Amino acid sequence: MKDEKKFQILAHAVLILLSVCAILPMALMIISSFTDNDLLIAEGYKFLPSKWSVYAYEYIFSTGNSVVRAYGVSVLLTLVGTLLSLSITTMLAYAISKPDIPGKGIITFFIVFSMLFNGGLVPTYMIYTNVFSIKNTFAALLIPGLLMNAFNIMLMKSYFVSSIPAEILDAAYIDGAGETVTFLRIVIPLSKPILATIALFAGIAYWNDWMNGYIYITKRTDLYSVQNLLNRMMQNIQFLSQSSSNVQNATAGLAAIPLASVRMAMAAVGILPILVMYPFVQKYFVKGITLGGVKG
Amino acid sequence: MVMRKRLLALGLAVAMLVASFTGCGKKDSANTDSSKTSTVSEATSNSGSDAASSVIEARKEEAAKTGKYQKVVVSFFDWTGAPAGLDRVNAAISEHTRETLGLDVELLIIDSAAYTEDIKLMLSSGEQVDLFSTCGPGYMTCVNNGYTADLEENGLLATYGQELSQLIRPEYLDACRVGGVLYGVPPIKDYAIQTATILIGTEYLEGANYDLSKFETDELGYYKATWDDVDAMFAAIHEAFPDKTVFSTQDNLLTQGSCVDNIAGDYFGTLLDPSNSLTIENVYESDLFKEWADRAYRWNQAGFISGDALSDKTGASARIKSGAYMAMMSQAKPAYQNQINGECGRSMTIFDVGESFMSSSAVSAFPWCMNQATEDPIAAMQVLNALYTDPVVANLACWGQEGFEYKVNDDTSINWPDGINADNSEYYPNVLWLMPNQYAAHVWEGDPVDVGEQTAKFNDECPVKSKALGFTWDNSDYVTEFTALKNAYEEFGPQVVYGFVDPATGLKQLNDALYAAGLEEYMNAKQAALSAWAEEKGIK
Amino acid sequence: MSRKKESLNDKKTLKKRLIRYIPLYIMALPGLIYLFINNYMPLPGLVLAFKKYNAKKGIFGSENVGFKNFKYLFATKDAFVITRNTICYNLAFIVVNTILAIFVAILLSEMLSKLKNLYQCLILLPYMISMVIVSYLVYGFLSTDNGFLNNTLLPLFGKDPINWYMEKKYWPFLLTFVNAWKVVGYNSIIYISTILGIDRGIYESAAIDGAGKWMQIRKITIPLLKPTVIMMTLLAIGRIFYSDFGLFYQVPQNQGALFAVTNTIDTYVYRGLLELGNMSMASAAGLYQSVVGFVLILGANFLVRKFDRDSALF
Repeated sequence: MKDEKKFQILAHAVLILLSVCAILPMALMIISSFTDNDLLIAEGYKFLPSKWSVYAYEYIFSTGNSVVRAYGVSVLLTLVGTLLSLSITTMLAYAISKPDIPGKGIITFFIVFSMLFNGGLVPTYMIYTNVFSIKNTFAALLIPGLLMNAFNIMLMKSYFVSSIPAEILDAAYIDGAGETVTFLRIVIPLSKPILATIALFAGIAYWNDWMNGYIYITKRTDLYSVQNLLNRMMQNIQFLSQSSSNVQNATAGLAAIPLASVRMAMAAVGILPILVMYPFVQKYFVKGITLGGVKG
Repeated sequence: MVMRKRLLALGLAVAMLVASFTGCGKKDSANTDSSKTSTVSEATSNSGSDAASSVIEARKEEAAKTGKYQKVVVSFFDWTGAPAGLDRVNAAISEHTRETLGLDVELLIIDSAAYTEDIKLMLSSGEQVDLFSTCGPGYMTCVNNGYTADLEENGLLATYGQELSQLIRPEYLDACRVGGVLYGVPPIKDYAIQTATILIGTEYLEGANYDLSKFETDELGYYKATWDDVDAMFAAIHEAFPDKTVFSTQDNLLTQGSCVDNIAGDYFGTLLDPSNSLTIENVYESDLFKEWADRAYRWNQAGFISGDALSDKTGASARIKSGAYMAMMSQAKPAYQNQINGECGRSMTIFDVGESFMSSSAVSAFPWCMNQATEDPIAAMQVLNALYTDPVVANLACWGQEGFEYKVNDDTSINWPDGINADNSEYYPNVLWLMPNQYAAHVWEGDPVDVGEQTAKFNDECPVKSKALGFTWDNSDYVTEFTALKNAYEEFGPQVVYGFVDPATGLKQLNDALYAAGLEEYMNAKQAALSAWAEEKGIK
Repeated sequence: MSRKKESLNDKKTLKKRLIRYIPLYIMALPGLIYLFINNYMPLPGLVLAFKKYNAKKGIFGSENVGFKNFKYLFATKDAFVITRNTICYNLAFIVVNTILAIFVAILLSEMLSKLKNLYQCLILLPYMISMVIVSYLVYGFLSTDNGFLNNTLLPLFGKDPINWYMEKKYWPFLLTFVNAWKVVGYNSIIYISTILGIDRGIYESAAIDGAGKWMQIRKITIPLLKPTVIMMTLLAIGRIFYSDFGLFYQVPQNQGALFAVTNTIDTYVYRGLLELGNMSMASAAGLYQSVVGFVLILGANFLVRKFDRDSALF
C-alpha cells in the first residue's frame, strides 16, 4: 500500500507538470487572441498584455460566411463520419483478427500496403469527381481519405488479438453461436476501450480536416466546415496582405485586418467546442468502458 | 470525352453551315452597346465579324430548339469564396450574353486560399472550365503542364476575338508568347512599377525635425532622394526615437529595390542592365548586391534592424502600423499615397530612390488562358472578347449589379448603394488587378476617372523597360539545379540581405553555396534560351 | 501417403473454415471496398512519377522520361543531409514518443483520482492545434527581442539572452520536444486502451502473491504492451522517409541558419516545387518515400516474424 501511495503522488506530480506544459502555450494562444493586434506585433506574445481587444473575434464572426453554420456542418460531419468510420473499421479489423481465417495474410497486406502507397492527389481527385461525382456534396467531406485508415484497423486488430481471450470465443463457437452473434454479443462489449479510442481518433480527424473541403467544395459555401472556413479565412488574409500593393484604394480597410490576433482567435474558435465537449464525451466513454468492463 | 468533343464540334460545324446558308447574321451584336470600344469595332474587317456573328446565330437557333443555352465557365479567385450574390450576377451576365453571344456565362469564383490547387485539379481532370486566370497557379506552370490552349489556332483570336486583339498592343501580346505560341492574354493594368521607394512615417520625420525642403519631387509627386539621404534620415529618426526599430524588412529587396530583371521568374541568373544588355549574370556577385549587403550590414550594426528580422514573418506595413517600426521599402505607382497611408495606419512620406521599371515578366505575370480541353474554343474566345470589351459584362464581373452592389455617380464613377458596404455586399470580388479589363468597367469613387489613361501613360513612359520583355523559359529540365539553388539561397541569402553577417564572409558563403548547387549550369541554360529567343526576335 | 492425407485434411478444414467465416468476409467487405476505391483505384496514377506531365496528353499519354524525375532527390550534396535528418528525427521520435506515451498511459490508467480525466484531456489538447499556430506559439517563446524565454525566464536565472533562431545546436532537442509535446497525449490513448483491455484478475492475483505496484507494472503491464509497441513501431518505420512539413518548415520559421538540422526531404522538395507546380516531380518524391518505407517495413516485419511470430504485421 505504501507503494501505491508513492505511485499516486508521483503520478500526480508528473501529470501536473505535463498538463502545465500543455496548458501554457494554449493559454498564450487564447490570451494573444484577446490582445490588441498592434501590440502583438510591437511587443510580441505576452501572458499579460497591456491592451486587450476582442476585435479578432468580432472580425471572425462578422465577416463573410457564417461561422455558426460551419459549426453545424462540422458537428454533423463529425457525428456521421465517426459512426460510419467506427463501424467499417471494427468489422474489417475483427475479420483479420481471426488467426485461422483463410486469406488473412493477403488481406492484411492489402491493408498495410494502402498505408504506404497512394496514387497522389490528382488521380484521387479524378476518381472521386469523374467516377463518383461527389464534388460539391456532403459526401465529399465524408468519404475521401477519412472514412477508414490502415492505422486504426491495425490498432483495433491488435487489441482484438491481445485482449479478447481466445477461450471465450472458442467456447461460444462450441456452444453453437455463429460468428455474427459472437461478434455482436461478446466481442463488442469486451472491446469498449478500443472502440472509444478509435471513435475519438476518427472524431478528431473529421473535426480537424479542412483538406477535403478545400479540394472538393468550390461552389457550396454552405458546406464549409469550421476548420475549412477558418483555414480559408486565414490564408486569404495572408495572401491579401502579401499582395496588398495590388489591391485598390476602395479597399484600404482591408489592411486593417488584425492578422496576428485573428490567427490565434481562429485556432481558439476551432478548439473551444472540443474543450467544452470533451468532458461529456469522456464521461460517456468512461461509463461505457467500466460498465462493459473486462471482467474475464 | 474526346468522342463527345468531336461530336460537338461536328454539330457546331453543321450549325454554322446552316447559319451561313440562311444568312441571317445580326452584325456585331456584341458591341452595339459598347461606347468605349465602338471605334475599335468599326475598324474590324467584315469577314471576321461575319464568321463571329454566324456562330452566334447558330447557337441561338440551337438554344431555341432545345431550350437550353450552351455555357462557358470562367474561373478566377477572390478573397471569400463564391460570393453570396454570384448566382444572381451570373444570371444577369447570361441574360445579356444570350442576346449578344447566344450563350450562358458562369463565373466560377474560388477563394485565393484554394484557387491554385482547385484550378490545377479541375484542369487536370477534365471538368468544365473554359477560361481561367493564371493568377495563383502561375502562367508558366499552366503552360508547362499543358493546361492552356493555343489562342491563335485556326485564327481563333483574329476571327472571334477581333476587338480584343486590337485592344491589346502587339508588344504586350508578344510578351505572353511561349515558344512563339500565344497561350494567354494579359489583363490590362499597370505593368511598370516604381522601384525602391522608401517610406518613412511622417510623424517620425517631424519628431526628428528633419528638413524635407531640400528634396525635389518626381513626376509622381514623391520626393527624390539618394541612399545617402536615406542613411541620414534613418540616423536622425533613430536618434529621436531610440525605442523604435527603424527599418521594417521584407524578403524581396531585389524585387522592390532594384531594376535587376529576374528573368524567367527567378534570380538565379539575371539581367543586371535589362534595358541595354541581354547577358545573364549572377546578381549575387554584382556590385549592386554588394552595395545592398554593405548597407544592410551597416544598418544592422547601427541598430536600425530588429534582431528578429529573420524569423518574424509579419508584413512590413503591419509592423509600421503597430507603431514599433518607422520605415520600410516598397514599390510605388500612380495613386499610391492613400493606399500606403491606410496600410500603415499613419501618414507616410514617400521617397523615390530608384527608377520605374518594367521587367521581362511584368506583362506575362498572370494572363487569362483558355483550357486546352474546352469543348467549344470559339464560344470561349467570344466570351473572353466580351470580358475585355463589353462594358456590361466587364461591369458585372468586376462590380456586380447596379443597384445591388453599386450606384453610379454623376461623373460615371461608382460607390456603394445606401446601406451596403464591403462586409455585407453580396458580390465584391475585389480583384480588379487580375480582371481582364478593369478600365472597361466603372471607376470607383475617389480614383481618378481617367485612371486608365494615367496607367497607360505610366506604362509607356517607363524608362527602364527590359529588352527581354516577353521572354519565358521552361526550366523543367533543370529542376535539380533549381531546387538546390532555392535551398542554398534560403540557407545563406536572407542573413546577407538583412545584414546579419559581414558581407565580406557572407557573400562568399552564399555564392559558394550557389555555385555548388549548380548556378553555372543553370545560368548557361538560361543564357542559351535567351540568346535563341533574341535571335528569333531579331533583338540585339 | 501421409502427406497427401494431411493436405486433403487441410482442404477439408479450409472449406469448413471458409464457410464458417462467411459472415466475417461479408463484414470485412465495406472496408475492403472503401480501401479499393480510396487507395487502389488512384494507384495507376503513380506512373506520373515517370512522365513529363502534359494535360493535353493526359496522365497515361504523357511522354515517358524514365527516372529523370527522381534525379533532383539525389543529384546534389544536399541529398545526404536531408536523408540523414529525416531518418534521424524519425528514429528519435519513435523512441522518445513511445517511451513517453507508455509512461503517461501507465500513470493515467493506474491513477485512482478522478482528476485523471482532466489530465488526459489537457495532455491531448496540443494535438488539436495546427502546426502553423504552434509555430507562432514557439516564436512567442523564442523570439530574440520579445520572447518569453529571453525576456522573462532566462533573466530569472541570470542567463544572457540567446538568439534561438540562429543557433543550430538547440534545434534537434527543440523539434523533438515540440513533436513529443504535440503527439504524446494522442499516442498515450492507444496504450491506455490496451492497458484497459488487460484482465484485472492478473493484477489481483499478483497483488495476493505480494507483488508491489512497481513489480506489477514491470512484470505485467509492460510485457503485455509489447505487441502494441511493436506494431506501432513497424507502422512508424513505414513512414520513416516522411516528415511533418509543418514541424520542420514552419516551426523553425524556414530559417536558413538552421537548415543543417532542419532540412528534411519534404521541406527540401517543397522549396523547389512550390513555385514550379511540377506534379510529376512531386509524385516522384512521394513514390521514393513510399518505396523506401515499404522495403523497410517488409524487412522489419521479417525480423519481427523471426523472433516473435505473433507480433508481426503479416
